[in-house]
Amino acid sequence: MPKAVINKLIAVAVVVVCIAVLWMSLTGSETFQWGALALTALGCANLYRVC
Amino acid sequence: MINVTDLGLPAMNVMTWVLAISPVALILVLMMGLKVSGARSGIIAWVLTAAIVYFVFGGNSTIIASGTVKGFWSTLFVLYIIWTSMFMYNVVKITGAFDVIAAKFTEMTNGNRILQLLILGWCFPTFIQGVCGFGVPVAVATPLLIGLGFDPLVSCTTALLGHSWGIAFGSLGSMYSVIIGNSPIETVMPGAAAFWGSIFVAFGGLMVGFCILHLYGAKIMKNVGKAFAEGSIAVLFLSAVMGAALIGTCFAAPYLGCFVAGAVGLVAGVVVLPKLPAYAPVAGQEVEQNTTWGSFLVNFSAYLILVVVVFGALLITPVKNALNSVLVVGLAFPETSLATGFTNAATGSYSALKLLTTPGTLIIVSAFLAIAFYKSKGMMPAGGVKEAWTNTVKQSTGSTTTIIPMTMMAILMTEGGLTQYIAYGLAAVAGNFYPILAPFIALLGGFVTSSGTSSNILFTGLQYSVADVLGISPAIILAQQSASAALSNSFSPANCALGTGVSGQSGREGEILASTGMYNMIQSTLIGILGFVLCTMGMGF
Repeated sequence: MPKAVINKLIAVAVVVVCIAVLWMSLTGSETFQWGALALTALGCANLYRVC
Repeated sequence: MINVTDLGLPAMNVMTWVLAISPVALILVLMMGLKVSGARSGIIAWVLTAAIVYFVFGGNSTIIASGTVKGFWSTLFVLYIIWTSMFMYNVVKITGAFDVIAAKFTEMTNGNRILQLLILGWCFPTFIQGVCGFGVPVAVATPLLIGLGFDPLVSCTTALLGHSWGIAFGSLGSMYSVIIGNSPIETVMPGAAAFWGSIFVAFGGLMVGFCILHLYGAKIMKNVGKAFAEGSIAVLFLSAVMGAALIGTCFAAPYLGCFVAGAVGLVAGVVVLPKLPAYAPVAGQEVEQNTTWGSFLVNFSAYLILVVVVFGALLITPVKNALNSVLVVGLAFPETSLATGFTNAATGSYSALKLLTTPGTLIIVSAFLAIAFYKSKGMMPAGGVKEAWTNTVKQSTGSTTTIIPMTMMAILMTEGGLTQYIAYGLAAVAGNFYPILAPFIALLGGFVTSSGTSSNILFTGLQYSVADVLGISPAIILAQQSASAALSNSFSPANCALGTGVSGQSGREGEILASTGMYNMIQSTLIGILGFVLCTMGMGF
């Protein structure tokens, strides 16, 4: 499998984890939600880097 | 006129409206103008949307998080279709079946490439759309066209255009049911929504046929005039046959309109069209009939199995009900609201996936049945399944990275009220010219949500209310909404990414958007003009 494909798959997996945390934060505090949003933004930044 | 502050949205002004539409504009500029990849464009637009929701629309962390997660959840459905249909295509490709399929279609159409494109890129997707939409027609027809030797981008764009018109009465009427359910049209004017809807959708079908012809002329023949000279009779014939079937069916059973139109078009295209004098082979230049029907059916079996599985699961009511009652998965979301009061209700199971009848499952089941069948015929080489899976991973990863941020941005726009704000702004300035603008509101909904049904959910109420206030026919305005929202499916970034994914052209979404965007603008303009003329004549009451 080409390395570029593997990198993209890893980046997608990272975003999936971030989204899972973001969903869990919906029932949590505002601080938790902002933290999860920042984490998701970082995950997306990583996805941006490999695409 | 409706006041947006009554809906809990910020007061209407030009600056806020421009900011609301800026994520859509940014996507178009990045992808079509600057050729930035869909993934990167989607991520940038998602950040911009979150900023606008927070700073301009009075959103909070909950609404941004909720819209983002809902968007991600919605992508799973689409990605499941892309990965499974790509796997099925690779299975068929490895067996070498496309060579036989191509040979038989060449014989059936007397070697006429335009007929092949119209039948497989327009009639066949319409037929599939009749029962199973959600991108499946594109995912199935695009690889078939590529297998027949058509350019991948032309194949993808044709399938996107070809399936779009029928969506209004496709998927067993999901869009139509929203028109009926979200407005009092059926109570006020019984039958009018189906009648006028079918008229506008049939008109949309005619335009789709000519758009495909133009695409073929511009991209393949490099001579649009010649393509129109050779293909116009076929387009007129097929659009007349499918349009008449659609309108006729909608009198009795609107939910089956697209299915019947597609089936009639497919039969007419394969059996009647090649026998018309314009397409009969010139004496001495007949295509040799070397491929037997038996051989064709064996090689085409993967797609025949798919049709049987889809129809069996979705048309046999007891089977459908049984499958729909188990393995239903949906996420719970709390109520979210803007500071100005605009609210999204809490839900216990958002956009629930019915795992046993979702299109991805039907495709993967069909793929494994096809593998078993091809193996029984000795057509599947050793290690073929593994090779098909490896190719699928390589080809589908690109579209996966595009669709995720794109849909997150789109749903966040809707969750934050931006999409509704844009539409109400258009309605506020239109006045008596509203029928000209109504299709563009539907187009906006389709572009942002990648779904005609979602566009209808968003804007049926708005369209009906504005028509009522202005004293013009709600039936005609809702017909415009249906037709234009359906056609907009060829223009939405997520659907384009689906198309590039199944055609192995990831990263070229901007080129497809440029083509389908131009066709969509023309289609919506003509639907607007037709609606305006009919409303001016006082029709539709």
